[in-house]
Amino acid sequence: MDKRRFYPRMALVNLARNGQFYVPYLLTVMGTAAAYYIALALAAAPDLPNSTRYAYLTVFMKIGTFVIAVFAVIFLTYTNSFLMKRRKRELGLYNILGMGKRHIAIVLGFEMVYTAAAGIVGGVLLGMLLQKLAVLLLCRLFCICFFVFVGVCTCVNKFIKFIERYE
Amino acid sequence: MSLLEVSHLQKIYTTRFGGNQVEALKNVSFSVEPGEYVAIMGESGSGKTTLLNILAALDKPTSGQVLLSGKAICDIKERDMAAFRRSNLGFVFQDFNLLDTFSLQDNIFLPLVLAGQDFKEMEKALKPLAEQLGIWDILSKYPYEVSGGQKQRCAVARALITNPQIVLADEPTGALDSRASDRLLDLFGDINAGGQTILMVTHSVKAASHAQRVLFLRDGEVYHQLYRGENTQEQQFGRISDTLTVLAQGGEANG
Repeated sequence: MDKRRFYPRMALVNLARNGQFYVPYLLTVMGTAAAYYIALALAAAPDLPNSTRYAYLTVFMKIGTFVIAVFAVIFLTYTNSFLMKRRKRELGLYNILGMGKRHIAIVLGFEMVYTAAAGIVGGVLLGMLLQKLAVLLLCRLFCICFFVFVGVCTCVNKFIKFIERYE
Repeated sequence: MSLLEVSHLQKIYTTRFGGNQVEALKNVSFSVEPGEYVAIMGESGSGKTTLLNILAALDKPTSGQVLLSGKAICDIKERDMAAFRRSNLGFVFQDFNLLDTFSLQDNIFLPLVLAGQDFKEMEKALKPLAEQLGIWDILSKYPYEVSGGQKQRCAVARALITNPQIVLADEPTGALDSRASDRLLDLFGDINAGGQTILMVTHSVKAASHAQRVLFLRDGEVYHQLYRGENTQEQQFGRISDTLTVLAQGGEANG
């Protein structure tokens, strides 16, 4: 067996074999990537009106993307360490049966590249879908706010006029 | 020349901040000839596992030396260690340590796969071994589908498939019922008769009575050893239990 082809193949086989843990993990990575993508998209927000009224949104969303990034790192590190704990026995056995730490690291590296690639591509696709939804929701939110604002204004106006009439 | 030579082995465990010191092995010296079948007995805490860990190069002794065919295994660098273990040592564990996600055949092939061997050669090596161990029919099954005895025989096949210089077995019968134990010990005898060197750590008098030589460990020292010689297995059983009784009473052995 060719050594160079062996590690990527073994990494794939390992992922498939640990599917019951790696599928949820992959979904997690995809979800996190999607969340980050949406936050970035909202921060850029080209489809929002360019008036000063919305300027604060962009600034807030930029802070938001930073917060999401920090939480994503913490969250994914934790999930990954949980997975590794589950696989300790498997990795230990590889070591005893004659696989050096370096080789185990290479295999784990390949696994990581696969998960990252699948997670990021899937996450961006998912994000593209959900981002439209998020923008729609945001517009809806603004419209509602606007109407409420207008409504309150009219009420207050009428109330003032009402009082003025009876003075 | 001896296959395995252990001289003045000492192992002291220290807690992280140098607080408590435990001397697991004091001064252990023995040697194993090629083709020998040696059992190591001792109570819990007598240093059996520590000794085995050092022999397997999983742990480093505080002082002393282990030579395998004249090569000091403590001096092997970490990066060469895995290859060394793969080609020279075979392991049989108490709890089998088979991977549930692999079929039995893949479990047996694992060390060869890690060595990057050709699949056809693997199959060639597997056939006689699987037939000898009586697991030929169940090779495509998964570890959770077969009995403990079958699992352990599969683990033995995994240990033997690389043609190791020495097989290290840690309580191989510890998790088996008496019938499966008997069968496994008979197989160990056959394998040894085929010229394979076996070193087994065990609690069980019965398991030890199958070996050609029994070493008794107490408080980190080799306390006594018994050669089986011309004795039958039953006679050897008696001699071992007598020695254990003396050992437990703390007296001097005279066997």
